[in-house]
Amino acid sequence: MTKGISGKVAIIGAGITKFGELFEQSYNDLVVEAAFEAYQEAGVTGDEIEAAWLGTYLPLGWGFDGTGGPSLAEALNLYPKPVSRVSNYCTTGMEAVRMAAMAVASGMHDVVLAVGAEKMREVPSRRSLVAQHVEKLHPLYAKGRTAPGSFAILATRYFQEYGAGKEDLAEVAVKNHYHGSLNPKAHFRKEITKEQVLKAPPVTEPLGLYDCCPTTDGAAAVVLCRADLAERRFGKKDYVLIEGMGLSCATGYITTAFNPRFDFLGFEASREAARQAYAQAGITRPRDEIDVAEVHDCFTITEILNYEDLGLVGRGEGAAFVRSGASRLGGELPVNASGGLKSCGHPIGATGARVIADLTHQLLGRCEKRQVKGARRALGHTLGGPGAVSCVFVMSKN
Amino acid sequence: MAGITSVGAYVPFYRLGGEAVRAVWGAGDPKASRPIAGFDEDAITLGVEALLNATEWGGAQADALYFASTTSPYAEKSNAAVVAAAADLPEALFAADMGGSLRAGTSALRAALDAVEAGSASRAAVVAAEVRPARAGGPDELAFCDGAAALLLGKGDEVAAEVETVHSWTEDFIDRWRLPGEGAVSAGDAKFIQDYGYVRQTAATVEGLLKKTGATREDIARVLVYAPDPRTHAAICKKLGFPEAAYPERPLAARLGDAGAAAPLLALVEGLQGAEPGEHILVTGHGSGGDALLLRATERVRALRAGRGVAWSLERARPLSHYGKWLRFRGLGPEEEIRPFSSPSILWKESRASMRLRAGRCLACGGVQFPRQRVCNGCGARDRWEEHKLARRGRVYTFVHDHLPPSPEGYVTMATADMEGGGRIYAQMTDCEKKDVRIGMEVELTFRLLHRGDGYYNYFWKFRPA
Repeated sequence: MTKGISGKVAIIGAGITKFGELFEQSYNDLVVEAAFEAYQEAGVTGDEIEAAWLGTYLPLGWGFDGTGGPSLAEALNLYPKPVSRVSNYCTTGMEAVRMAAMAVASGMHDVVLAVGAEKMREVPSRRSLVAQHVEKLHPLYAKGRTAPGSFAILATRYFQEYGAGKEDLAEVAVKNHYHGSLNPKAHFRKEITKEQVLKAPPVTEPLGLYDCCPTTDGAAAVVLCRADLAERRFGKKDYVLIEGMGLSCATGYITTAFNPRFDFLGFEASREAARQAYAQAGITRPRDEIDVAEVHDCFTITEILNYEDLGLVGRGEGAAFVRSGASRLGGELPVNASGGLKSCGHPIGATGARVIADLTHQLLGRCEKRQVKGARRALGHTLGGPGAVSCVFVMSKN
Repeated sequence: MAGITSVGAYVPFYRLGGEAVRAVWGAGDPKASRPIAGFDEDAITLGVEALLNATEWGGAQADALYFASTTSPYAEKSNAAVVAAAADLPEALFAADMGGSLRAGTSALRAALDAVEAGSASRAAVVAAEVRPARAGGPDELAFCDGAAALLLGKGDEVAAEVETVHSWTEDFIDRWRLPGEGAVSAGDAKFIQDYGYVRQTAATVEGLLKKTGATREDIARVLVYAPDPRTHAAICKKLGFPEAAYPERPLAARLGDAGAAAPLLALVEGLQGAEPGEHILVTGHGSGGDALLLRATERVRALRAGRGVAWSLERARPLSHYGKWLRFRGLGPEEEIRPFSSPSILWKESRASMRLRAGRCLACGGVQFPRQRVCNGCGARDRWEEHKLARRGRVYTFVHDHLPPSPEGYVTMATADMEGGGRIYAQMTDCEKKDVRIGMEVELTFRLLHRGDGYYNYFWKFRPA
């Protein structure tokens, strides 16, 4: 395998909207806000953007915006440039950045924009993902499956295999709500206690209300450019370099749970995407070499599995890792200092872009109360499908 | 002489108790315990379960199927065809729906016998199934019973009970009736319909049969007459004048309730499974007259005991925890409007997999994949597979109880199970409590109604505890 992307692409600006139930804002409002915040940080104007990628997962699932490249072109007046929409389940936003980065690395474009956006709350929450699962997809197979159900089913097996329990899941929820309280952009900004988590009504046993991320609106954007132009053309002394990018499709969408090779203890997609990214970035001991991470905590159990799949700890050691406080701000390797999906929410297409944007700000020292001091190397992870696809980025300060 | 070669029965597991009914409506026999179909069951699924209990999984052979019910899910589309697909019968099949009267069960039996006797069918399946239209708070709530029975008919050495004589008698009579669209059964004056309907007509039918046969009353070991309730049953038996020992001590009408068109065949299955070689058994069906059949158990009759019948079903009784569940099962509460996607062309092209559970075994790597893929998800070989029917039994690998999808139970249990002989399937679990579900438990596949997407019935398989 070649060194891939390492050191070829820089991120010079990032923008994130407030995440929440944003009834006063339209899809276009979110896109504009995120993009222009990124432009400003990058010191570019829209005219300079040569191409753009839009990550929106399911525009016709709960609205009508974001169906194609023109959706982004229209919102930002990128006419008549090349603009594409990408969709890859919950990795969508990160996938948009990945596509954009590959275009820059190929030499096709010098400066590009990637935006992730999803407007889920124009419909009642139950009419979004729950209805999608119940009403769409195959008429017969996997009927009864839901997003939390697809992760909870690993929790059942994980608990049995490793002796973990709901208390371990609660640690993730408490940690990420604490982090969210420090993030002005997060959907949820209140701390919660372990007791609240354990007493919460069941959603998909063993997951309760506080084990699940909310239904949220939001957008995030990043401006990328050729690494050698970051200072020369855009005057940046401080910027972020993409050291490695991985994407892996490791199983089918609804057929994950029918796969006889699946052990329900972690996700091969995450492991393989991480392997690709680490190989490009030259990382062999991720726990030591990474300073800050944002991983896909759609549900508390997922974060625990992510620690293992991303090689931060060995198989079965995820629960102990969160219990030890190592992944909390101030700990050995803060994970989801933004509050993660748990507190920021999960506007599906936006999340991957928000992760890249948040890590960009961590590496540039702009995270204020939730800053991981001296962060030089960052790990970003998204996972969708569930388990079907994962995307991993390794980024560093220049 | 044509006769019965195999039997099966399925009485749903849930029980609506008299105490629960009494607590709500102030009346009802507190000792009553009536089998009711679950929310995911209908006459088709009950019929499939009964037929599967009479046949071998994946090996069912029949060239005729008679499906009898007054509560068929479809008013206009073959119900028998659905049963045939789920029971994995061959496609070269005569499939008839019979209904309209509670006598349809025995009518179907007579028609099937004639077909086998005449040679137009070599093996006929007769399935009678009912989910009775009991109205909440109505007089039939504790009287009616849901259930299904299945008989396989053939000729020759396989026959376990020969049908020696049949007789039918038909006299238009208004005792009980239901018009299309009505949710409950109406009844005439209780005394009149008992004496002049059930008793007189059954007597006429039986008399006619006895005249045809050389047998006397004393020759007949078991007399299984249809009756809607124990009192009518007693009145009929008194009129018929057989020795007391010939009548069941506690007829099904007393133990379970009135199973409608399925009742005579349920009684027959139970009777045959207790019969000794050489016994004569008389069974009647009723509806504006009725049918009477006289059977003789052959040397093979004891082999019928192996099949899952009435006793097997009754062992699995699960009382409903409260009255409200019965209302939810019948859709009598506010339910979320759910319209899943479906498509007749998708259901058709995939029916060998979804109805007949044909997985694919890759010829290159040996892996069993369900649903099968053209390109093996194990080794990548394209179009190198053979069909493998999933076994009925398996073990749970993992599961969840999900409160998000709408369900009359308030939650849905989803489980992934590894099936005997290969293949893994992820599906809903039914007929169980949360506390019964654990990793490693044995489950078996049961045919159930999944939803009504696109406006028709979408059936699929679920797990239940084995």
